Amino acid sequence: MAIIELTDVRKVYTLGKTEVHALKGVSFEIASGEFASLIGPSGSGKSTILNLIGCIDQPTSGVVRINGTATNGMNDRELTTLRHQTLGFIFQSFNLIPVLNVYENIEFPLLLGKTAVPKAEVHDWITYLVEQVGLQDHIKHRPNELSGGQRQRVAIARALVTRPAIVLADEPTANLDSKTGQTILELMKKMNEELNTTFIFSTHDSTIVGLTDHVIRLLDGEVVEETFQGRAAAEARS
Amino acid sequence: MSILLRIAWRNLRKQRTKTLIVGLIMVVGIVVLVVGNSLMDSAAAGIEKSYTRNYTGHLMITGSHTGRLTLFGFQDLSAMERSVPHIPDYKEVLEYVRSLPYVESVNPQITTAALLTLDDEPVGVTQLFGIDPVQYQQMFPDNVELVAGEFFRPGEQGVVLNATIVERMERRQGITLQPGDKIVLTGVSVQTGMRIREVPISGIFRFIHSNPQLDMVSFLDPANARDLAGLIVGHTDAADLTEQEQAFLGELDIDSIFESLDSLFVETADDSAFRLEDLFSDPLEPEEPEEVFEESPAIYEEDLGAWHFLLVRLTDERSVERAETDLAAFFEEHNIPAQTSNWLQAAGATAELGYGIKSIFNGIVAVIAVVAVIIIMNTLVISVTERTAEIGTMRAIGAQKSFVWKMILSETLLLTGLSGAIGIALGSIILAVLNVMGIEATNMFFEILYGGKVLKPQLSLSSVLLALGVVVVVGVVASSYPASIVMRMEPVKAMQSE
Repeated sequence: MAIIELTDVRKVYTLGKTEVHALKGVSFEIASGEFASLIGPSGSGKSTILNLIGCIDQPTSGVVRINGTATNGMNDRELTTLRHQTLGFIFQSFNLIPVLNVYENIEFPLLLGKTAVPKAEVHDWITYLVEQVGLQDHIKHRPNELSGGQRQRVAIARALVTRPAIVLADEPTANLDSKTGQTILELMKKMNEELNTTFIFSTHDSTIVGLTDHVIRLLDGEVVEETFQGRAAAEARS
Repeated sequence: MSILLRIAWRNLRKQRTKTLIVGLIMVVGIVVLVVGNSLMDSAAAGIEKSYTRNYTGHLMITGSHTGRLTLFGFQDLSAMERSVPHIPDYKEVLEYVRSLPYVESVNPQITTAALLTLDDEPVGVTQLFGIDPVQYQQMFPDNVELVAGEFFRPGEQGVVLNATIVERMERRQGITLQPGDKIVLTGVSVQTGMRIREVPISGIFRFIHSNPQLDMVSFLDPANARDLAGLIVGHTDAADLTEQEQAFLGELDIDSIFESLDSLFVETADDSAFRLEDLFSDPLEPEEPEEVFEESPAIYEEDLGAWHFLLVRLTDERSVERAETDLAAFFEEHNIPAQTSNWLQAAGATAELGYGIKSIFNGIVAVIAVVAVIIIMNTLVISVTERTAEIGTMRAIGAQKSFVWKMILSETLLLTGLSGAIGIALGSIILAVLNVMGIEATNMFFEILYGGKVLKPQLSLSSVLLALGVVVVVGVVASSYPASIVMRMEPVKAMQSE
């Protein structure tokens, strides 16, 4: 079943008097539990698609459906609630809250409203995530006291803490060395398999592409190739 | 601690320099506000106590009027064009006021002013309070110090001159005034025009708690006061007739006239009425003073003539509102065109000075508050602009706009609140020290302002509440613009600004 569905999505940015067509009628589906990647050169539209799926931007035309619900026409409050309850974000620059420590950064989304995590389980759940990302010894550290890899691990735990159906990761390894990047990817793959969370990457990283089940190649705002491998390919065949 | 306060507190600590600068401005502002307002409140309380105890009572009943009517007459541009209204149905009003259980004492008064003339030479001016000496001294027993002579007695003519006026006249004119001398008072009223009365000086006095306005006041017997104020349109002065006029009117036997008058008194007066011989007793006789009024009530007959004011002292100042309501209802029910004023309205310009200065001071505080708002707002705008990515991240991962608004507000309120608390604490310490030391009035201006010679300021609740109000208002107003910037931020743009 498709958890994400884009139908003829177009996005036009206006820069002064110039119109930039970032997406030119993009359509694809991503199934629940997929480990998918959006690849393509800079300016191909990867980040734009992530922003639209992440409900932090709206398409100029076309329909984006999350869990079968069209996001077009939703107001800011509804979109924010959808982001909070259904989506997790991992950013290229980690984007942790500088004044909060590791535990608090991970906990933060749970404090923003109702989530799938019962209150009684919050502490155990955060502790579990902290252990999963290997930061139990840094739980009181602030972001500026952590390495890039450690920060990204915090970001992964934060993205997963609300038990979202979808995690969007924008170039998650871009600011990490290759070894750390590999570790982070393995961690996300593990989470994908254990929690059945759908991961969508925007990336140039061939290592990520190699790990994903579903690869969507973009060029100049259009889908030029879609490939399925591993589990997705097997499911597609069945 | 809630996440909002946690983030706010840590952000304030993170931006230490900005926090210190803004905090310091707030602390100084709040200290100025608390200390200044407490000083003003202490002074105002002093002025109120002094005036209600010594000059005005708690309420002043007057005839219906518009404009600013004080014990000194109208204090507005119409003062020269209209006269002070008298209290209609005075006796009825007086009886009702005295029947009220919360009324302690009353004192009727007339206000007028006169040019003082001696040997056809103008020597000074005075504000005159026409009073019933018995009732006046009963209501204000502690406000007058007799320097020479004594008060005129009920029914007697006389003026008790203010020592300040006498000293000024003696200094400028090179004259000497003492009880027993006669002085000519010239008054002008709208109804009756110029009135000239020659009155004996009964005494010379000084107000114990005075100010420049009160230093101009002398006391006059009610009959002459009414005359000068235009409350009487005719009087019975003996006229010096020429021989021709006497011839025209016929020969008059003065003695026979008084004999017939005497017989009239013998027949109608009883022991409790006013005795004519008292009128001619020596006013300077030392054995006769106030106790005559107190110990021999039989000779005192209350003057129920026309009065401008009836000053009312209540047993408890908290009954003022109740008294005003009761009196208004009484006036309406009996169709009496009269009204009440509070002590401050009665007291006039000098007493209002302290309140005026407080208003000016509050204006200065408002300016400080505006400056604080601008500085805090500016600092916050810079702060939120620097944190665009952080706020964008919060929005992206599920923070509603209201959360972000609350976060900015918490930060500002925490800063202003802490600064306010420190400011109030510092202000309280300063006031406690000033209270122990006492602030001496170095001149008359400060004496008026302090309501006495030494001001012992106390922390006033209103100044603390005002400080807290300023803290909240400054916090909310200062955060509103930066918050509006944040609320307009789209998460995607915030993300791109990283």
